[in-house]
Amino acid sequence: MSELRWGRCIEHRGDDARTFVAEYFAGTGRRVALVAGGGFDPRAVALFEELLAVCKSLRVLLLREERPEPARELLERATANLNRFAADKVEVTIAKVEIFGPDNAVVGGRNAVNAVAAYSLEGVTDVVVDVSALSVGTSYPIVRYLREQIAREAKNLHVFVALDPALDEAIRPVASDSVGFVHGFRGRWALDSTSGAAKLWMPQLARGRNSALQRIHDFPRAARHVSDCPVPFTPPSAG
Amino acid sequence: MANPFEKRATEYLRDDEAFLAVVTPEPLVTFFAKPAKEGRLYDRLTTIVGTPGSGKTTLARLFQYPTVKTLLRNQDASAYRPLVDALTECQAIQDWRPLVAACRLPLEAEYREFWEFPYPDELKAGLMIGLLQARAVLAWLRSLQAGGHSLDAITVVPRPDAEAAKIAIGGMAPRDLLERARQIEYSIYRTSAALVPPSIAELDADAVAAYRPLDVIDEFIVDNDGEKLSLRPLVIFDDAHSLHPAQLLALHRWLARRELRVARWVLMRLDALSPSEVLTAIDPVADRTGEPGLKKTREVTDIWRQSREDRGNQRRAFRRMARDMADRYLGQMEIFARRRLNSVTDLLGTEPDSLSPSDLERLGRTVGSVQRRHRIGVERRGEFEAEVNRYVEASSKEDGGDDVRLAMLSILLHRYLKRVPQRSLLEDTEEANAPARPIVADSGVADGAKIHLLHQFKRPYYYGIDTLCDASSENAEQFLQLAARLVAQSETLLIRGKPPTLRSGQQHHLLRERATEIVEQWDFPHCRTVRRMADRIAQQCVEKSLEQNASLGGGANAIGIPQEEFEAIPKEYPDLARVLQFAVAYNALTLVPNHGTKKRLWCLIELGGALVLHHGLTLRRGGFLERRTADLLQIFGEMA
Repeated sequence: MSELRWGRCIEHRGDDARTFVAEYFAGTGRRVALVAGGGFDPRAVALFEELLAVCKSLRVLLLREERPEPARELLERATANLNRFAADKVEVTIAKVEIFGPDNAVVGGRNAVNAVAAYSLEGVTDVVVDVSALSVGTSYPIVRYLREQIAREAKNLHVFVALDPALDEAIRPVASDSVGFVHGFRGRWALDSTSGAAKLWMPQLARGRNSALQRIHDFPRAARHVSDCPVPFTPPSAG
Repeated sequence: MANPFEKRATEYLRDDEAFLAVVTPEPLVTFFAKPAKEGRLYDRLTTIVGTPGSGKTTLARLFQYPTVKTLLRNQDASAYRPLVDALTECQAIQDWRPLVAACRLPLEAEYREFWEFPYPDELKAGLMIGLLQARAVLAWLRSLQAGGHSLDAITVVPRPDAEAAKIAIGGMAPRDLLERARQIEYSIYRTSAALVPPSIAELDADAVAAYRPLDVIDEFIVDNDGEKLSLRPLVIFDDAHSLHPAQLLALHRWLARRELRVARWVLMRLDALSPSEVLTAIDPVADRTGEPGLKKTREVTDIWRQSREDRGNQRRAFRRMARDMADRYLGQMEIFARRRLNSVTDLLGTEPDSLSPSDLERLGRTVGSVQRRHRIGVERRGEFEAEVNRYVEASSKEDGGDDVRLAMLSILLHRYLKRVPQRSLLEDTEEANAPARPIVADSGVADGAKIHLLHQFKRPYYYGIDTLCDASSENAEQFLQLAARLVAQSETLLIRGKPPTLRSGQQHHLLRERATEIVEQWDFPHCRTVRRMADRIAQQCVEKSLEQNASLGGGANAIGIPQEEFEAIPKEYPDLARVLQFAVAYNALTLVPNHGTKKRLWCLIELGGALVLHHGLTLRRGGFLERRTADLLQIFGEMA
């Protein structure tokens, strides 16, 4: 069996992750670029503040996901979060990422990759992606893009997430009304040469996502579904 | 089998026989027979526009070659006969032989991705069209194979003047054609699936090759049990609303060319159109005739699943279709089939649940106090009671219990009070008190009475098959969503050993509960704004409907804006227009343009069936509140 793609990665959880941040990023040779969400999510600043305390060289690319009809309260929260990123020794770049096109098509993943691709990583030794305040549709493509870039440039890539199931559940998603793939993760789906291949769908069950799950269920018509196991995450009691 | 009403069975049944057992032929005849008879269905671009869940994909599937072959294989099955007749009327079948080889291509989000590429528009459109052509070839050949023809037994007939282009598509041998289509598909696919698109210089040669099989292919000839069948290729592009508007226009322009020999249909939802097209009753594509290469009427056949004309006939046609569909679905449920319960209509009791004696007494006291307070004589009241009785007894279908008669009497008394000045009442002479025009009881008064009883006493109002159909806004999916709850309850009764017929009160409760869920689960662009706007309109309609004299009979379920004012909305208030467009596209609201009342033309903004049930309004059409664009803007402004 071939080695899993993430088999050689190192994973830390909880206090171990904090210790890792404090020890690893405090190194004198570390020049760190943080890519994070710049929205209303209160987790947006958690990692930044820990890095700020230890990093000698830190710069930040904030991806501000823009959706139609944002609530005023969310905008105010996002602005408050952005203000917390202001620090004398940190260069902060804010990139707006439109999630929907003018025709309501989902274009966020492609726009997020474009924003990251346009951001210079020259001189950086470690790229840190904090997906806590980013949506799946933007975080997956940028991690994949950075992984491919970094493999060519001998940098380190770190991916962080601050788990908060209760908060995640409280966030009301805006789903597209048509099913599509996360940008860059389509594989060979829909090609004639793979039309006979079995498809497996492992739904990530979540409250309030009925209609989105129903659309996905109806989409891969030849798929075999595994729907009995909520994948993967924390137990329901965590919320 | 699980309750097939819970989902749109036609969407997920993988087996053609099972699909054919539940699909109803009614819409085929309604929408396709006429253009087929006039020779406009297969010789030019046909666009089919409808709301989500209106059955576009179901119809497309019915035309697909393997489905048609399955249908024709079952010549002895009498259940399929109506479908064969309908497809024959649509000229997809003749003498039990297929005439058309149809394939369906869903235009999923993948095609929309092309528009995000950093290329010139022409190249972006070219890549999309190239991929569509490759996939059409693959889908045709796969369909013919699924229909029982081996690849080597298919003859692809080119147009006589397409010699040179034959080479570019890989030649006319099916295997070569298939192989070339796969190469083109993979080449373009690699570009569209890339995380970062390649530069123009890096594009694969196959991706930008001159590949135009739809310009070349004329027909397919296949061997069918020793007989040669000539089949006209038909490609059905489904879900075209997923494309960017500029892509959709490019697709239209490409497909509208007269030199194409293959039949081509484009299926899409209303949200693919511009707000102007949706809101102002302009046919799709019609206002794009200025675009090069598009001359609407001659080159495009438009089929609207929900037309704004002849709504009465449409409602009757939908009732027929829905009843047929419901009975077919019911037939799939063993628990009903075993007991020979094959009609949903029979499961829905029509005996009204009347008021309790105490509520009836309370209503009687209220009516009596109106009479006394306004000094209406016993004789006058007697006249109105006789008028109510006359109407109820003359109307065989009317629900005319004591409670309804009393509520009707109350309305007539209030109408009398409106027409006769109060001073005149005090004069207490019959001559002075006589209304200028006679006060009559009619179906509007009866409907108003029942709406009053619904709100005052929670008396069931929504029950029976026609109510179920009318509450569906002529949308098959909504019908199934509402019917599912009723059928499930009936099934529960059977399991408990009770009669399966649902009382009117049960139906009313279940339908309103389901409608509320539908409204709360809306999940489309601007749905929150639409929900709040609709709620505000509905509140005003409820107020009007509960007027004591029921001036609009059953009441209002719409607001009307003067037609000329409404037509200016897309240009003057584009944000409002966009929200209205999605409300219409997703069945929340229905537009009724050019509605003539009081010597004026109005555009009615009618609440959809789910909203009507949710708010307890009449399903009868026509009652509306006169408003201006400024009123609509005020509601919209409060939401923004």
